[in-house]
Amino acid sequence: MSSKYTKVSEEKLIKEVLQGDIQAYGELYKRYLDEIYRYVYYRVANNHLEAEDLTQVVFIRSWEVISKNRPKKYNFRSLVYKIAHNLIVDRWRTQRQELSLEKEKVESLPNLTPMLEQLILSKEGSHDLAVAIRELEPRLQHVIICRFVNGLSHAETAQTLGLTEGHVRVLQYRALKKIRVLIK
Amino acid sequence: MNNKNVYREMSLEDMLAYCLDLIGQGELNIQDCLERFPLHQDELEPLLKKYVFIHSKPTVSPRSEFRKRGYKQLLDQLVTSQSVTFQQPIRNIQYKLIQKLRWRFSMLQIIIITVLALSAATGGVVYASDTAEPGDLLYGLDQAVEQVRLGLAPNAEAAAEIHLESANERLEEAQGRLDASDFENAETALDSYGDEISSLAQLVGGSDGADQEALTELVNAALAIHQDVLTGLLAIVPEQAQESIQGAINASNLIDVPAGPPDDAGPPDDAGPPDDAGPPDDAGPPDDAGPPDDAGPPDDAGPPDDAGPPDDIGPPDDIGPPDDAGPPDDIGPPG
Repeated sequence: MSSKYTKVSEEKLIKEVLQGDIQAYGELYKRYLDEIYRYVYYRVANNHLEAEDLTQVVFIRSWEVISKNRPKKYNFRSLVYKIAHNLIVDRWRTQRQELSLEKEKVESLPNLTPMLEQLILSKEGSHDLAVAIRELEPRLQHVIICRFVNGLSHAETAQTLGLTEGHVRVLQYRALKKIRVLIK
Repeated sequence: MNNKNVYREMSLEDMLAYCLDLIGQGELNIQDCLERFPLHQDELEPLLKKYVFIHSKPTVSPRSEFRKRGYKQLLDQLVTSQSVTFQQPIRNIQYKLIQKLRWRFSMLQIIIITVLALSAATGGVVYASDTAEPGDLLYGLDQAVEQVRLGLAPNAEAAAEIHLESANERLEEAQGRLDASDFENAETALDSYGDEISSLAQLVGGSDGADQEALTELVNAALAIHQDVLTGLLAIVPEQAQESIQGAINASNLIDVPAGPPDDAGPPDDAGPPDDAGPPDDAGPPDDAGPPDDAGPPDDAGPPDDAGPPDDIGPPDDIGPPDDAGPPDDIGPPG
């Protein structure tokens, strides 16, 4: 599966993408797939299939934003995280509307697949963490996943939020305090 | 000795960040860290232990089958969409032509058309003004032309696009001026950028319902790019230009989404920090060690006005996907 772009720097890939090079974008996809998948999974997904779908949408939208706006230069990581965050907020809104309309229907028809998946994930030990993270407010979720799940530095996390490192340190402190209460 | 003084002056948030960095790099363990901050061991220890707990969780990864299938599907989809997306400049021209044909003869428009007709003889000047930059003689005319175009906008979305286009131009002008070390005119361009974003915020705020959401998404898609550009600039420009850029970054955080997060996004109580969430007053960041004033508030104060949109949304909400990137309805859970 190695392509001619495997060893190309990210900066060069971005230049190629701005020229409309799909293969270069594919290489960026490979490099950021795991990060974005985890981000989406911990923030919203109830199962792997859902996380996969949302991850794909993030990368397709990122491509659309780049091709539509043609920025002279941009930070790809920052862009995909922002799009993922907004996608999740959109999804919340949609689900909230749907839930209010179909609440009774959902309650009467339990879906066994997510339950099975949750059981497996409980054994893996990730499910309780995901559940606790989702109890946090959106910005704290973002910080805790970027910092502790995906291992981004304070500076990298700050860039994905458009904040300063100092602000990220404050949010990180708040997030850990709340997680501490949520996961005994 | 010096180190001890530095440690003593650090805020609790900075102590935590310091320890997390060193533990993450394997240079210290929890005990080593606590020994460096003996006065704050009680606060730091449970947080550091929770960090180690989170870190020890198994990593979630996409399935290998998805890696292969997802990659192929993505490329297939981009090939299909490329003929549309990378022809955007042509689409824009077509769009503008169509918009110009949609005359609605309000009194204002009739006046504007008359003025435009009278100024046809000086069309070359108007054209030349389009490329004018701050400090140029024609810069004022360039902005006046934009005002005329705004007056002709048939609806809020068209007006938003004109504002965005202008904001883009202002940003590019600022970049150009900064590259030329012309800080005075860069500041002018950045101020104008802030004005455009303020106008956009008013436009979005003045619309309602579905229009507001569509406008917000349209605007936020562009602001995502703007923020990246501005953040990049902030890192490389000299100190004297940083204030203007920070102002523009703050301005680009103005647009807020119309609705807060859902009930399941976090308990409503979370919107305001709990009483016990903040560091003690005496642990606040010192001027020379903690985060900058605009970098974040103490826990018990909520977010600063200039640091981004409301707590319940977070800054990236301001920079959502474009309205043509697909409605959220089509990305819901599959089953």
